[in-house]
Amino acid sequence: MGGSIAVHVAARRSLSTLAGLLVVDVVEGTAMTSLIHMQKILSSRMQHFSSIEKAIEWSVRGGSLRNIDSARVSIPATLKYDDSKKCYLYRTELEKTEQYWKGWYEGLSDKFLSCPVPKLLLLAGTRMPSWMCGHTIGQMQGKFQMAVVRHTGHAIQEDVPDEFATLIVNFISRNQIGPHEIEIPGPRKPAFSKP
Amino acid sequence: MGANSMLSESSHDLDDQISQLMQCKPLSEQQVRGLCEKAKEILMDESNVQPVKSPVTICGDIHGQFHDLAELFRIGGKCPDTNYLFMGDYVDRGYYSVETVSLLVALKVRYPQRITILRGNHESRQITQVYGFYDECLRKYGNANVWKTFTDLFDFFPLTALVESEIFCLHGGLSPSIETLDNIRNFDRVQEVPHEGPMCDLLWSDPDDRCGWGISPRGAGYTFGQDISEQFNHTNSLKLIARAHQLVMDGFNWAHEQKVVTIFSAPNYCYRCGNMASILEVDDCKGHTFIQFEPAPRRGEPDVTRRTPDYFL
Repeated sequence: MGGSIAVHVAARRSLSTLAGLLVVDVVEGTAMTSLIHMQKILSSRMQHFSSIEKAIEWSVRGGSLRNIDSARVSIPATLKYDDSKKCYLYRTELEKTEQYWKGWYEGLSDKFLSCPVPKLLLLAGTRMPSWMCGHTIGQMQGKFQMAVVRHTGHAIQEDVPDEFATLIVNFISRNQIGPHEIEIPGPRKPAFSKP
Repeated sequence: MGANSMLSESSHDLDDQISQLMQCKPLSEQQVRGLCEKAKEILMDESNVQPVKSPVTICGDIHGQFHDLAELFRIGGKCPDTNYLFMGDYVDRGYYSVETVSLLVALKVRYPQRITILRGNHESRQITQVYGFYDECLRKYGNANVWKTFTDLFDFFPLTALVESEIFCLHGGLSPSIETLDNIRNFDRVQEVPHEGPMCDLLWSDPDDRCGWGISPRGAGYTFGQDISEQFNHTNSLKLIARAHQLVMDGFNWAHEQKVVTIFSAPNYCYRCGNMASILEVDDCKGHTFIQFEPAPRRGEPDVTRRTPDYFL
């Protein structure tokens, strides 16, 4: 859902300081076709945990994360303790938000492509075939950068944090975001127009 | 007699392979190895700026859409009756990259003077591991040997071509590191496509409405404005830059006051984009004619495994 929030905010152009848009493994096409499976996926998750450590263990062993170190950081905040049931439960009851799911993803592609800032779409390489998941027309018209990250699930930033960080740093550097400009090699010194 | 006999046998084998490929049937791994060995010997003698004579038909991206390539030959004429210049991106995305690139390489070996095949940004080890060619080779051959054979051969593909000294042809676009055609002639192209630098730019850059050089949204190459292409054309006595690389809905698109043209030859790209494809015929009086075409009738796409969707809310 976070990707959808980022795209909607960027598309409104209300943030004058917005310098770039990076979306992690969220594409309208696959999202919309997957929504019909989502309640089943949610109900198949383990629902009760005797301890936070058990929840962390499950998220890697049976859930969708692959990096135990990352899960130790991210999972605790998703849980709350239920005094009456004497166990940990998910803080957010995603099942009850179903009426909003479609609105999160419908029209996302057009909104993404309409954002005026540099754009990077990261896709998890375990989706098969991943290269069909993207905004195909926009990518082949050269409107944004796409990177497919192999050996990772949906939570790319958790499963392969070092590679993820490298992609972000390279994106920032290439698009000259921040105070220092990058010199271009070659006989001419092109002058970039500033937006 | 011996030499003639050898040549005759080789041509006959090649014709058999071409016939097989025209039916969209892949060659054996051994045949691919032999074919690529011969292709390498031919391609290593070609220039980074390969001269081409007119008449010639210039083609853009194919991306593994074999049946649409067959449609292209039906409309444009068979090779070698028609001379062809393909500007790269034969593999990835479509379902038949193996058959597509095998056929084009086989035609190159069989009729080396009648067909020119340039390198696109997808003729690369890194890109093909992500966008489908690698997986397709695994699926059709059971191992990655054919993928390795082809990606090693890709290093030998010429980067650009020059039609009658007037039309400069390449996959992507210009580079701030390149002012003259001699700059291109002088570097060593036999390598994996680098992440940056002049060789990368030739395969990744795009023309732009804005003047000057710009940062490409693609993450590699540059965007270049009309002032840049005018200067390059003037410096090198060129009349036109023909390139591919970008999906355009009509199959071709003029830019920079008809000094730069994009040609895209994969109709209904990725079997869903709904675009026309086109090829550019340059006749021996240097007249230009675009021929547009639609996708070949679909034959039922092969099964490609789709995994159960992952949690992503």
